This record gives sequence, structure tokens and C-alpha cells, in this order.
Amino acid sequence: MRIWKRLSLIPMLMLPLFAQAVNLSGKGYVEARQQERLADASGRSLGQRYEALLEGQMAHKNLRFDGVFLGRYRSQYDVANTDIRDELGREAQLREYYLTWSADAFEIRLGRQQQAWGRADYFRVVDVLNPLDLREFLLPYIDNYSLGRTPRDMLIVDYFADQWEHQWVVAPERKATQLAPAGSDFAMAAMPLARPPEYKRGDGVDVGWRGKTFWQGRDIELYAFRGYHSDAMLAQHQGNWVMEQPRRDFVGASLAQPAGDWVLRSDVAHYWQEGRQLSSGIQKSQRSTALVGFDRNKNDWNLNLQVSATRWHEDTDGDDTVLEGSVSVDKNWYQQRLNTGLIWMVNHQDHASHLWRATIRYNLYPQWDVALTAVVFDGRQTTLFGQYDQQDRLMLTLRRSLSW
Amino acid sequence: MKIVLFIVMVAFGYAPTVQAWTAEQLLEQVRDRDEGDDRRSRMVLEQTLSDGFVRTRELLMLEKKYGAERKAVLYFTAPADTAGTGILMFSYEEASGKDDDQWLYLPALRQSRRIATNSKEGPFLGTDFSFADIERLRVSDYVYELQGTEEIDGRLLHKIAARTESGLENPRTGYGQRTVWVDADRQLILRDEFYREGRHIKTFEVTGLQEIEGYWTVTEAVMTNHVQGGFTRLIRKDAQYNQGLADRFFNERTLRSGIQ
Repeated sequence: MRIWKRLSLIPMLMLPLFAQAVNLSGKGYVEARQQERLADASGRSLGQRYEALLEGQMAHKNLRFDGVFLGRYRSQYDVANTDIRDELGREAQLREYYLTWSADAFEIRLGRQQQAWGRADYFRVVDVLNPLDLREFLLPYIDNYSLGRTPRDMLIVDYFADQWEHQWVVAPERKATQLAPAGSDFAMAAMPLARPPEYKRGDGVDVGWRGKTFWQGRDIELYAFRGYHSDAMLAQHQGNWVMEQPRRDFVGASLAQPAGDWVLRSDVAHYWQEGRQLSSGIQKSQRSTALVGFDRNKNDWNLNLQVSATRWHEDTDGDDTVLEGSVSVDKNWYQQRLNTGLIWMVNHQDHASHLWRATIRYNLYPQWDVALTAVVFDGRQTTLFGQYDQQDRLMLTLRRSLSW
Repeated sequence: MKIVLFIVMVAFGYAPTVQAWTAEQLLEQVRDRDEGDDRRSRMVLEQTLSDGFVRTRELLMLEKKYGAERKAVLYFTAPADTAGTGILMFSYEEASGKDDDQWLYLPALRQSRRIATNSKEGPFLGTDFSFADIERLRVSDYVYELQGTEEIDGRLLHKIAARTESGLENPRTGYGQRTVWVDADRQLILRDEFYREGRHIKTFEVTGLQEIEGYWTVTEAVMTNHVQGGFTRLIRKDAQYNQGLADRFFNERTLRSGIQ
């Protein structure tokens, strides 16, 4: 791990080289958000949330360095008492920093980064390389996938052959999904107040391969992955409860193909080694997941439909089939400087639960936007979305985008 | 020999006038005109809405010819809320009947999306240009009638009336009729009027033209929207031809990594 940290210093050492003929560019935004609850719920007022994101890029010939900084402040958690952890109060982190070397047939990226796999929106059938940040559940992820993923140290090598592109990924640092701390709005109902210690089994290295081709108008991708689940789950070890990331191995495939006014996209995967959290601990089981989606983009109306089915092969007392779906409708009213969007997500395992999100955004001035967003959860307390039934909210956001 | 040929042509009343071509031939020449093996240029899209609000987008554009096929990459560099967005386009020989292939890269997703291309009537990034307006000309979309010549800005141009064979809107472009003014010498459309259901909805005009490295290049054009009001100026800067652009630029990876 020490070697890995030394490797991450490479960009710093390259600064003198870049100073000669470096191409600098950057962009980002600052935003302020006022949040109000739509339902009676215990806990503090949502208050304000401030966020700043800065992305920079330095390029010199075939070498490039990328960095992404994120700073956040949430007034709701600006307390340090025993009821609510203050780790959500404020944070500042260099989320991504990686070096890219490009040649005609190769591209190599080294450092803390993210890599998206698959064609699905919201549902991660094969997009497993980066764990999620669920401290505010899926809300930041729906807004901006790149902020929902947690970057990690990776070496990514792409080889571009005539017909196929090959990508190899090695992630030596094991990272787990970040969950909401106890007492916060999106803390999971089943999670104990005091989290058990982490327990690491195995070497922790994730390795993956992706092959990609363009064949008769279709985008086809194949995947193979061997490593660990991105979620830390509760397990019994020597009589004590610990948090452990179970092994995960899968093969998968993706397809994207235009068909008339529509684009069909699909991800399928078979996990022959996967962990599932049960009340008794981690169950090892195979699972298969298939997702089919359709996009239609016409006259600035964007419609996206997705249906996904997951089958766990080991039986439990509950339902071993999970059905998920989403409908997203988005319209750009460019002449009116407006953008409106509606997302409905549904999850069904034993019972159905829903997430609704409606947004209207207005372009006040060049690079100034104001947005009003409503998020509503619905379902039983034991379901994915229903556990946040009391967390319905209305958000007013002012954003200033900037570039240099 | 050339002099003899000229005398024969004049004697038979066959002077090399501007009317020597059919409308289809003129438009085929526009479609197939020599634009070099590749081109790199910087573009500015400046859109003025009917309420006076001005929205400006800057992008880098790479184009390369692969026989009868062409590939292009558009990479947005400004403003900040659009920067990093990229579009990859493959366009095929008209005779093949194949629809274009297009991919859109959205930096917030860190993924590229496939786009359906059989309908191109929608606005190109919200501007007054549609995707159909910026694609490579397809001569077979319409039937044509040559309506003589007109002088515009000191140039003698062929005026061509175009309409769909059925009289209905072309489902791909969204236009039922067009009136096109072609500069035959430079093989360029300098003015284009677009009609939908008999209504004149948009006008395209070339307002800047320059010969760069031997290629006539549109350096500025305006699309005026007669329905919504407002207009969009398309400005091409720093056009460079035959740069030997590598094949690797015309790939989805360029959408992610961008163009320097």
C-alpha cells in the first residue's frame, strides 16, 4: 500500500515537466441549496447545503493529469453530539487524481479515479468498480453519477485493436460503500447504532476485464470481474459481529443498438460468487441479473424506460427475485431557458417501494441556474425506498458554473 | 485544342454558363466536394433568444474522411456547464442507405450514450440548427426544380426548389420544402430556406466565407428562427486542413479524454 501511495505522487513529480508547455484547463461549480421537509419527521431541520466542485486538467503531449476537488457543508449536521454524527457536517476532499498516458493503440491511467461499466442508468448491473457514497442515499447519484461513485486507486490499461478494445483494471485498494451514519436522515433501518469493526479477508485486489466492439451498428461489451463486493456486510467471525466485504466474481455483457426512434440498451450479468446480507449474516449465493432499457430522444424530449430482474439462486425465507424499474422523462425548453424532469424508480422484493423525483430548472443568466426539486419516497418501512418514507423533501438550488 | 472546343461550343450555343448542371448534379457536387482528408477547427455557437438572452458554446471539431465515409468528433470546451460534453459521429455514403451512428458523452455520467439518428429534426444542443442541418447533405431526401439564377452579394447563385416526393414532411429532417441557393464554383450552399407545412420556419445564410489552404471554408453562418424568434450564429475559427489526424481521435475514448 505504501508503494501505491508513492505512485500517487507521480503527478507532483511531473510538475516541472508540465511547466514547460502545459495545457491547463478547468471547470466546476458552486451551489447553495435550501432544503425543507415535506413530511413530519424526527430530526433536525434540513437547512442549507453548500457544495463546490472544481475539476482541473494539465496536459503535455501524450501525458495528462486530472484532479477533482469536492467541498461540502450541510448545516443539518453541524453539531457534535451523541445523537447525530457530525461527519456529514463538512468535508473537503481531493476526490480524483490520476495520470493518463495515451498512444495510438494504448491508454494507461494510474491513480485515484472512477471507471463506469455498463449501459444502465441508476441500476448497477455491471458497474461495480467504484463503490457508492450512500450517505445521502441515491440523491447525489441521481443528480450526477460521477459524484455518487466513490473514486479509488486503480491502474487501468486500454488496448485498442482493430476490431476490439480491451480494458484491464487492477484496483489494489479495497474500498467499501459509504453508508449514512446512525442518526442521519438516510441511515439504514437495519444497521446497528455502533458499527462493528471492519474485517478483511483475502488480499483485497479487484481485477477486471472489458472487451468492446462495434459490430453492424451495435455496441457490444463483455466483462469479467474477480474481486470483492463493494458493500461491507455484517458477518459472524469467531463469535463476534464484523463488517466484511464478501467475494464477488461475475461475467457480463452489454448491448446498445438504435431501432427506429429508439435506442435499446441492455446489461446482463451472472455472478457465480456473490454475498447477500441476511439477518443471520452473509449468505454466499450465485445470482443473475438482466436489465433492458429503451431511450427515445426527439425534439428535446428524452424518455428512458428500464426494467431489471435479479434472481438469487440460493433460497431464503424471503423472495429471491428482485424486480426493479425506472421511467425518466426530461424536456429541454431551450427557448424558455427551462428544463423539466421527472424520475420514477420502483423496487419490488416482497413488497414494492417507490422513489419520485421532479425537477424544474431555469437558466437565470449565463452560467447561473436555479432549480426546484421535490423527492418523495413511498413504501413499507422494510423496503428499499419505503424505509425513507419520512424523508420526502423540497430543495431549492442556486448554481454558478465556472471555467478557466 | 481547347480553343477549337470553345469555338465549337459557342457555335452550337453551348457556352459554359451557370445553367449547365441539373439541380441534383449541383447538390451532389456540394455533398461530395473536396474538404481535404481531415480538418480541425474551433467553433463558436452563439445563440440569441427572442428575449435577447445570449447563450454561447465553444467546441473543437475534428473531421476525417474514410473513403466515402466520414467521422467527426465535437468536443465542447465552454461554457462550464457544457464543457466536457462530446459527440462522435460516423456518416456513411448516401447510396448505402445507412443511418448515421452517433454517441454522446456526458461528463456527469462518465459514460457515452448511443443516440438514435433516424430522426434529426430536433434542435442541435438547443440552438436554431437541427441535427439535420449540420449533417452531411442527402440529395435523395427531396425532388428538385432548378429555378434559374440570382445574384446575392455579387455572386451568381443557382436557385433550387426542393420538396419531398410525397409533399409531406421528410420524417428524418422535419422539412417539407426547401429553397436552396448554390454557389456552383465553390460547391457551397450559401442560402437555404426551410418550410414545414408550407410555413417558412427558418433561414440559413452564409455570412463569412474564406479560402483556407485552397479550400473554400464557411467561417460564419446564421440560422434565423422565424417561429420562435431569435437566431444562432455559427462561427468557425482556426480551420486547419490535412493535419494527418490519427484514427484514435475518432473513437469513444476521445469523448472521455477530450481534445487538447
